[in-house]
Amino acid sequence: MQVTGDQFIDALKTIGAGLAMIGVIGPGIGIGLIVQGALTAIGRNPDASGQIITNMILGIAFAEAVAIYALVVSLIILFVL
Amino acid sequence: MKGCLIFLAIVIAGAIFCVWIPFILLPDNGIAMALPVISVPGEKLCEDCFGTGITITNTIIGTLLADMVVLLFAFGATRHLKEVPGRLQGLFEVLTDALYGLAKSTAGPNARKIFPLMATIFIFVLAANWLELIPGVDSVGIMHCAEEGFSGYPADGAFLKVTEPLDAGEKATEADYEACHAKEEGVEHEEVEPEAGVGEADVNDNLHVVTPFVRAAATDLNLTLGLALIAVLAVQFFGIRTLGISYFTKFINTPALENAGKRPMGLMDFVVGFLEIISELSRILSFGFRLFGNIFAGQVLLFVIPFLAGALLPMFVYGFELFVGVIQAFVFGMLLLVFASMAMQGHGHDDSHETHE
Repeated sequence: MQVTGDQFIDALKTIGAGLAMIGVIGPGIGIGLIVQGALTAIGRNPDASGQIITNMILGIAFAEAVAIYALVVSLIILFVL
Repeated sequence: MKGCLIFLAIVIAGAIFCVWIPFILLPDNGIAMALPVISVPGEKLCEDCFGTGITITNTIIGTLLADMVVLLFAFGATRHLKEVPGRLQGLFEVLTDALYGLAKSTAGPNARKIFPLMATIFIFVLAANWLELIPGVDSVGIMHCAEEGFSGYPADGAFLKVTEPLDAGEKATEADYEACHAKEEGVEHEEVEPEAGVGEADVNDNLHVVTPFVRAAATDLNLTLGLALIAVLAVQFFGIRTLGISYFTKFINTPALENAGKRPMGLMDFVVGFLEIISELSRILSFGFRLFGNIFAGQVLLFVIPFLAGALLPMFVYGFELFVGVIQAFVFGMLLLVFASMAMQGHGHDDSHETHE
């Protein structure tokens, strides 16, 4: 089967988009660590759970932003380039 | 027993809406789901609208709608203020109370200065994010010839003709676009040289895509980066207004240089000051791309999951999008609050925050 140059480049783009998503491993582990800390803190001091959860959501948003960067790069490779 | 019946009802509903309707019933009648166009920049609806030279994109319309919603809510809730509030005023009071409590617990005495900007950004981003979930947004639009790089479908009167489920359309090339335009306008366009390897017969002049009228405002990088610039500049402004010119010792740490005789290690603080500049600039990118990425990824999910999985599964994506909209608005506001309060407190002083009862 003959593969034209265009098809080859499309295939490489798809591989690139898939590879870009390897970057979400880090934030996944990071969010798990944040929630671990929050749950431990709630376990020690259940009265403070309101503040703890607010700060936990803030920390999760920070960590998730990095995962979103990887997703945006992947989407740009797929749909724009 | 009742639980079993409910479970059975869910399975049957899932089978009907996710398998039978999108993959069997509708394609047999010639209507299948088309994959919407996913493009990172906002799509232009009209260039040189009404002769004024202004280009209107669909994200601008989304932004204007979000503006109108916020203004209507604000006017409706604050006219005829009553001692015992009605429902809209009550909602407004609950929102303001919650946000102001948050501001006080984080910023302490400076809360009054930051609260207006933070609450406005929160309510505006919330409205802009939730507008994306109304049916009709991102789906109803203008049908036009597919430009190069987009995947188009043949047109059938006023609708796209999609007969196969999971049909992602055909990628349009420059030649297809020219041929489609020529057919529409009925004039002779100059023939574009087809690429080598594509014969005359391969040019398809019937590829169309739909550009939505309204698109979620935060999916446009212009809006999110603009809000990020406003936020970061506002933080600098609050810092200068509270601390005067000595706010800039956060960046160029002259007190550390003065004390270099007594504390030589303080020179490290001077270098750290320059790193603070880079950190401030990276905050612009971080603010902008966090909001853009979350909402854009949500929009792509909302496009692709109904295309793949019918009508019941996207309900969960909708719920998730509702949640993500609130969280992103909240995070934007909270980060603005935290950075502004850090800037107002000055560098190196860790004053005690008000204890949260």
